Amino acid sequence: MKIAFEIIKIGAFLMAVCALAAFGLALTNRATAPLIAEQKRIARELAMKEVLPGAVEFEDIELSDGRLAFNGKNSSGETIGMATIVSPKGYGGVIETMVGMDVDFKVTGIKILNMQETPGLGAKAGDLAFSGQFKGKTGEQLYLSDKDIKKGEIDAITASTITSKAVTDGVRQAVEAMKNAE
Amino acid sequence: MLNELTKGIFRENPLLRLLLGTCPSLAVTSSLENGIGMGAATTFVLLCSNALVSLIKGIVPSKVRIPVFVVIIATFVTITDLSMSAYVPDLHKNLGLFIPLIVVNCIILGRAEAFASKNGILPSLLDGLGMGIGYTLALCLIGSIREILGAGTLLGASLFGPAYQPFLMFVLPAGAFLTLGLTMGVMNWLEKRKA
Repeated sequence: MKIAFEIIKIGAFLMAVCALAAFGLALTNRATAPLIAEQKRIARELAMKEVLPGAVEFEDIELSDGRLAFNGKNSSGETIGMATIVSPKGYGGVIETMVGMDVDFKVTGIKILNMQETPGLGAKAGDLAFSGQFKGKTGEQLYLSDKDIKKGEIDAITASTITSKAVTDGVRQAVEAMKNAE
Repeated sequence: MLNELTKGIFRENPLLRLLLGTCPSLAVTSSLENGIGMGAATTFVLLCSNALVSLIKGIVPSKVRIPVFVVIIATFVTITDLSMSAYVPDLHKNLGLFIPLIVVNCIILGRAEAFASKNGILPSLLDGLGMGIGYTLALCLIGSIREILGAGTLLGASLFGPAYQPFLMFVLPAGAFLTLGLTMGVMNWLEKRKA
């Protein structure tokens, strides 16, 4: 009987501690949730402006395959291009990449949002020396210049062919997906 | 009293002398900035948990003290995680997975169990602050060495110009083990020379 009482007492104590903790967390969540959502929105919009220079307003569109894309409009309200996110598989995991293109499906810019590529090797994919090459390229040019059978115009990063190929294929897929969505 | 503050910095440095929390230390110290961020987050959690554990030490039944400590630590870690994500999103993105993992960083549970649950609030706060500073300094030291050798930069600023060919290995996992091992060796050597 004494043991049973002891167990109930300890259990009640643990429950009280957990209830207090849950209360504290609920308060924190309420204070930070809108801020976190806002930060995410700002980060996404900054990336969209970077891949689609000149666009000031964005409108969500959904492609037939369920992928999310955005139409970018300039200050006078004309659609000047669109952007979408692709996740090709690189050397260390998926390389989440945002791809912007104009209305003629010429790439206007790419930005890598998330990757786990090797620092100093594959991670150079984020450097302008590599990612800047995509600007102005059309679908047929989006192959590696010496590694792909179909010769393209993208120079791979030294010692990081897998990463280079993944990003290039991803960008090409993004362009094709948007073309097919037309 | 001052001893509680200073012991964590060198003599009982949690990372380099007590060998606590080595797993997150190896993973996040690829740059000085990450070292500072991780150190600050850990110090904050350590201070809060030490203070609270010390305050409630009289009423916690000894049979469930570890679960209670873990709940307290997990709560503070989640608060830190959410706040960092709201106010310093870039740093939060870099440290990623390792912020929630502060929960299982044995420095924090270790100090709660070994110190805060037996001492008053003021010594516990000083102990937490000292251990936090010691851990941060150790992370910064290792982070600096790895960033300078492995990337040729410090806090992102280039040190040796574009001609420098960095030792890539030092920002990769192998470099973390090497740097931690060598730093501990130097600490032991310093300690021996003193004795």
